[in-house]
Amino acid sequence: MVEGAAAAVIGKLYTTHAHWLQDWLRLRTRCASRAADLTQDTFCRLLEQPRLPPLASPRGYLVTVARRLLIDDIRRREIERAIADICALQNGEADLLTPERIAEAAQFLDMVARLLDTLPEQARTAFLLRRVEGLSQQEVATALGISLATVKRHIALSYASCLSIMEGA
Amino acid sequence: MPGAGAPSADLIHQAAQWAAMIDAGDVTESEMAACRAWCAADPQHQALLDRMLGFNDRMAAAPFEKAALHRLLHRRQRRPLLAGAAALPLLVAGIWAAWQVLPLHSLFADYRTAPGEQRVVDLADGSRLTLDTDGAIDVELGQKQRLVQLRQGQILAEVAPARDRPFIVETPEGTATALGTSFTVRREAGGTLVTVVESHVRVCASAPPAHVLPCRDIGPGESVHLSARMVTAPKRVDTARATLWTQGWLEVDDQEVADVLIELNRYRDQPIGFDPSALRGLRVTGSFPLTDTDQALQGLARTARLHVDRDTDGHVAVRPGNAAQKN
Repeated sequence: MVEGAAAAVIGKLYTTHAHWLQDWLRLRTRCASRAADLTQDTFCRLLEQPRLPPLASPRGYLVTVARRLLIDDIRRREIERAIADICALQNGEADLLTPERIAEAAQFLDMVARLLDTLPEQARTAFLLRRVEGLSQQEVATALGISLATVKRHIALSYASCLSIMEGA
Repeated sequence: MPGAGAPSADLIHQAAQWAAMIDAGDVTESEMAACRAWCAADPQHQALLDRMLGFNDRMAAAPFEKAALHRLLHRRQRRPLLAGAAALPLLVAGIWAAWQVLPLHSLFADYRTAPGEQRVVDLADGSRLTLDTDGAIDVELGQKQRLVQLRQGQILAEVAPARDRPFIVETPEGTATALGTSFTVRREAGGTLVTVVESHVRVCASAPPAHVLPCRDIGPGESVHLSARMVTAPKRVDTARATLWTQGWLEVDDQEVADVLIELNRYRDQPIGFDPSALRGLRVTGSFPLTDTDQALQGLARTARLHVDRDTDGHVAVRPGNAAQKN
């Protein structure tokens, strides 16, 4: 598909469905300005795509893209809030937390949160126990009542997913 | 194209196996040799493994991130719902489940605070404890129940709801049991004080006589005194004031100066000396910072018109000022 033609298709999608999509997003965010931003982002995503798939259901496709953006947006906000909470608790030592340090932490946490979202339940628990709570693999196995080999498999999966996420980002 | 660009899924898989093996810490000589050979085979192998293991170091050296992560999971548990983001509720439920099956033994922990210190403890179940000055607690998060033994001092418990897994704060005088709520428990000379901020708490005496009802359910804004023998009738209290210490303030409303000094001394290494009989009847109202008890003492002395004596050893004592005596 020629670039100009793709842009024309997206332009048509925009005039036909942008309003509808924004309403859809407003229902879910309960916030008009976020809904407007996410609508814009959705169409930007379409423009960035090298090739637009044939669209049997344009609204279904838009919603798929928008939902992914919404989930990213929610996760980022959650992380920002969690960081703000922790900063507030550390008001005494807040000087150590430069804006760069906070931005870096947010980025790291975004990666970890995405990792947690990807892992199946038991692997996620194993990961949290090993990396966050600092249990040994053997201790994780005992705690979850599973074999050490299974824990090792979960940990391997967490490494692989973690790298895939970093590669994708 | 091997050796350049994005690593293949297969290669990532291999590197992850090695990383998990190294992470287990039980690598044999021959396994180690095999791993080295794999790394030497292609610079990309080594680079992949380094990046994976680098994640461990990043995580291990990140108390701030860990605290934020706990907070994030805690928040997801509290306010999970964002309508429509279809994948999310499920996913959140998954993370709750993850935290609820956390094991027994790793979750035994004891926390202590020095005089003047306050400490926030984020528990693995998503609950949060704020431990006040000169306090001591033992925490045991089990599958059936979550138990906090308050040895000394005062805590604010903000409890993450968990069905079938009650949250219990225990003192020698009895227990305060909650399912998803926020309340304070404080040990005093004469017993234990329980104040509910949110939701309901069941307070039970440890050794009630036969004819006394052992337990009492108290609601938000209510406070009871617990002795081993009984739970008193609830009193209404201002919950904002009851938890003000967590923000580092002591708010006093028409109280005996001697009682305020006793309270301030809980936050001090060097207690402020005073003669209770000389101060009797002297009352005071005001807000005093617990984070700087010297400043608090100055404020108190000004408001209650006390005279502060300091000797060369740093001992501090107060007595009624002249004006106060005349009143």
